[in-house]
Amino acid sequence: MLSVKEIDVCYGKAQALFNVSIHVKKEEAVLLLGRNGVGKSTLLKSIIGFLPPVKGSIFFNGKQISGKKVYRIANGGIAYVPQEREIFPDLTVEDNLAVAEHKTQNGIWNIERIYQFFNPLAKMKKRLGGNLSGGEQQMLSIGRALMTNPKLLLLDEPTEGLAPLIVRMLEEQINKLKKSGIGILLAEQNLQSAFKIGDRAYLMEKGSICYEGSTEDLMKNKDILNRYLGIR
Amino acid sequence: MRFDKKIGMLLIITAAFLAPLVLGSYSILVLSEIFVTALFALSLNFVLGYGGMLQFHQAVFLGVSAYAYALFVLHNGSLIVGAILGPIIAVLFGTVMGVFLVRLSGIYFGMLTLALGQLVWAVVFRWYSFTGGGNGIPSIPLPGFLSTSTERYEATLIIFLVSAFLLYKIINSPFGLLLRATGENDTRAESIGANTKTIRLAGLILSSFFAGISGISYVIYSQSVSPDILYWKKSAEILVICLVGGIYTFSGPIIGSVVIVLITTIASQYTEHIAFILGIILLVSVLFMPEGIVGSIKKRIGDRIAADKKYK
Repeated sequence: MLSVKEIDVCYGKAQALFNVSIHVKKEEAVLLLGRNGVGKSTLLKSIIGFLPPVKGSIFFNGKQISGKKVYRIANGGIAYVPQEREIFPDLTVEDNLAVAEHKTQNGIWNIERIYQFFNPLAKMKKRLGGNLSGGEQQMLSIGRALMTNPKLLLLDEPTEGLAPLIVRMLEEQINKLKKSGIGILLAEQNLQSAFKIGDRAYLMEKGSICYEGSTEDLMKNKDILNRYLGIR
Repeated sequence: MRFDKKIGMLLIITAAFLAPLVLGSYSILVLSEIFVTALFALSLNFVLGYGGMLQFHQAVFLGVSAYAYALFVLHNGSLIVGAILGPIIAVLFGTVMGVFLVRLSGIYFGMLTLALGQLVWAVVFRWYSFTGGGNGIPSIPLPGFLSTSTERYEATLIIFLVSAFLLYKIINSPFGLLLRATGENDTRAESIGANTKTIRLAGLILSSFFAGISGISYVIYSQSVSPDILYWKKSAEILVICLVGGIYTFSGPIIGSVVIVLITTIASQYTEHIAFILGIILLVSVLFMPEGIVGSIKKRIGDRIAADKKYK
């Protein structure tokens, strides 16, 4: 469904990604793992179009999307949930969702379904986005992304800084999303969380991919985990 | 609570319609000025407060619309066609400027609005043979049904009410929601599939249209035009009105207009230094009510409701 082919990405003159290739198949959850600053977020931003690659190309469902405008890529079926969540603070919860509404042919997501999916949001429809807790904001941010009825969801550290109870709830819901047929590309530092969700994983180091394999294999490979993630 | 609000508004509107029965002609003129100013302020706040665009020179659109009407009528054009032509010319200017403006953001956007706006002002000011230059155009003919001061007053009131209603509807439409989202965070709006440039351009065009309507309202009120109405000072004045009233609320610019027009009208009887007084008002409001009059009141009420809930 998504295939990133040998891309280089730069912030101005500083190169952040080197010859990165990854792919995500339909109904698959893929992990992007690695320490802080290895390029996980950069890769996601490049896929959604904020940082077009200077070399290489990105294909989505067979069509080239690298170089296209962000809103075209988004309308093509990719939704991005940024690390900062970035909900609209002065819009109500309901408006935050309504603004992203895309009525696609096979679209299953609408406001009512989001409220069922993230139950706590249903109780605060009229509250301003800026007045929500971190966990609620994260639900809203994912909910808003789902409102575009995406085929692929890019998630950037969704559980960062949240209470364990909320983290568990988010893990469950993201797993449900996977089962509903949405492709997921998840950048994560919280391995416990990531391993519960991912089918396959890429490990990143200094802007390149240094390991690729199934989540099961990676979990057993203590050497790799130790070398790139510092886990014994 | 909501019910009370509706009745309150209905009472105010009825009182406004009946005002000429009790008030003198001078007071009526001041009220007319408030309606013209309030509509003009609403048109600015549509892009400023909701669209998040630093439009520093909104007066251009009021000005070109008023001039379009005046010049068309002066060259023996029909009065009604002139009144329709005004907003159309404003939209034309808004579209051409908008095409360049939406490529920029933040302070650069603001600087370009000033530059383009002053360009228009300079043309109007210097083109003596066509626009009358610094003298402007005095005693512009109006249609027969606007011959008395009461009729002109009611006209500015009706134009204000209808336009405010339309703006309110637009802001609460799906397009309005997209405009607000773009204003709050345009990269985020883009990543949920919104073409933010087109949305901002549409916002600028709609805003110039309503500013154009306020230009026609201005001619009805003053029956004359001068280059002052599209000078940057006029734009700064309306910006202050929006800020003092509160740019994050719909009624903020209206309340701002009432307060500022009344204060400047009263103050102008004692001093010529109106800008000085505006400056003090802005300073006080920025320091003590950074969200404007309406914004601060709403916050107070919100806090009180929250506090009540806490102790129940």
